[in-house]
Amino acid sequence: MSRVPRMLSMVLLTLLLLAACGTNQTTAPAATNAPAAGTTSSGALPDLKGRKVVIGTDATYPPFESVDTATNKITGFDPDLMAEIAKKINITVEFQNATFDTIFTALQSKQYDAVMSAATITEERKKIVAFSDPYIDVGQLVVVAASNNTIKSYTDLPNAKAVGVQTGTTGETATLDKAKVPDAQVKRYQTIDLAFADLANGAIDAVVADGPTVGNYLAQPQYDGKLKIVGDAFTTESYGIAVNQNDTELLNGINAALKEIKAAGVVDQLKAKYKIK
Amino acid sequence: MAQVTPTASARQGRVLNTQTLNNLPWWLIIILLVGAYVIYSMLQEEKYVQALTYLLQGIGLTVIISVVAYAIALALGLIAGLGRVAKNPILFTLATLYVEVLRGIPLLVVIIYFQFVIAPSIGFNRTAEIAGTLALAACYGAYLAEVYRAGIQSIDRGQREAARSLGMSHYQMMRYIVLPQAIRRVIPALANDFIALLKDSSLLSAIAINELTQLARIQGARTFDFFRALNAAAMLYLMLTLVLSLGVRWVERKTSNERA
Repeated sequence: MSRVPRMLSMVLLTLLLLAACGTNQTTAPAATNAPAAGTTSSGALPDLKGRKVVIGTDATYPPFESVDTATNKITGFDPDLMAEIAKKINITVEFQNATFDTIFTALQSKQYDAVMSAATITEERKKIVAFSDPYIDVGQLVVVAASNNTIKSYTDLPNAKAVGVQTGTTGETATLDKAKVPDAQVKRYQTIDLAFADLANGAIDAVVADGPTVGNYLAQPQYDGKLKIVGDAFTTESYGIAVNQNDTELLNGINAALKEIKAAGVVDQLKAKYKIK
Repeated sequence: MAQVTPTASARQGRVLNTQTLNNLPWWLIIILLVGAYVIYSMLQEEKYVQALTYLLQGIGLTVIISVVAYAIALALGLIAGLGRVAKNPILFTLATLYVEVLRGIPLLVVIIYFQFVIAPSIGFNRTAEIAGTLALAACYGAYLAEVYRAGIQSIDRGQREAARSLGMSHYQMMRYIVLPQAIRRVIPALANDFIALLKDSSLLSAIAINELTQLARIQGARTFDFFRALNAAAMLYLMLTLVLSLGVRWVERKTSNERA
């Protein structure tokens, strides 16, 4: 007989849950007092007074970011470059490992202060986050098994049974839009390392990914001689550091620091260090 | 039963009314009402329609993989379950090894292991769907083995003794006396595991199989709108599991009637 009150409480609970869902859109405005630092004196760098900046990164993307097997720290081109930026504008950075497909949504919902994850600046991403000035240019490359003679360039990709890409990357969009591979033939992995593993095992016919990362994976001992690059890079893209759209303090700081760092030739030194052409 | 006094029948009527009210599946009515409202408001919004249309492509694969994996798991589980109660030490050891090993490894690890270790090493690597289905089947076979074992052990010892005293062989006893009763007893538990398997098929997104969860992630990543993509996926999963859950209730009622 106590069933009716129990049901009532369930209804109330459901309504409460629904109400809670409805209110999650109210986000507090970020406390940025946007001093527009870089504009006053072009030479002086803004001082962010040791602000802590949490950076989301998908650390399966060498040489840009990967987890060092010896130290378990996230290392690579991006952390090195960020360390230079941090020195210039006085911030403390902390890299956190993330999955790439959710990384921009996570930044938008303020799980991170920035995303530095070999991320190409695209119009779609700009709709929800802000990007710094570009810091490196790359292009998409096609990788196949060394024994494959049918796929000679990206134009042959629609004939492949399965093309591996990483979900949410520009490799995915380039494969669909530029190489015109039908959706059903695109196999999306949450991390690119699994796509290379499947390619070496013969489970898929090709992988499309950013040039420097392709070069790095092909140089790994377990893929040595098993895989090869076909054709040239078929896109031109620029990586940027993504921050929240209203975080002008951080964005101006990063841009000012990048300008000096690029002028001093540090980016080229890092490219040489990580063998990026 | 026809000769009841008017007062008694009136009282009986009142009792019947509260009983029907209590027996109504209120949880289902609430879910249907809330569900209808949620679906209606989803269909009013173009972004949701877009997400739902895309995700619908994955439902077929989710259902097929779940059904095939469950069918294999039912057979594997029965064999291993019989092994778990076998007197033969070799059968018992093999079955126990299988159950303990696969029950002790997380499903996600088994799935990735099947795709990236077992499949390539036996040269069977063209379709991740098959590796994923077999991984699900292998794990759920181990879970179901324990369900079968519980069912078999729940049958009274006297039944076996009676069968033996009638001159039945061990096989005959199992086939005609123990298993029919044991399986009927565990049908609700077996059916429950089918719902669990269907939900666990979402783990196959880790090996890039285009089932429902994988499509939700793709949709979320390309629209940056995980809120709608995951809501749509959750709703589709709920619709599947609700239908199954009603099926389980129906089977439960049917089997308990037969036993009574």
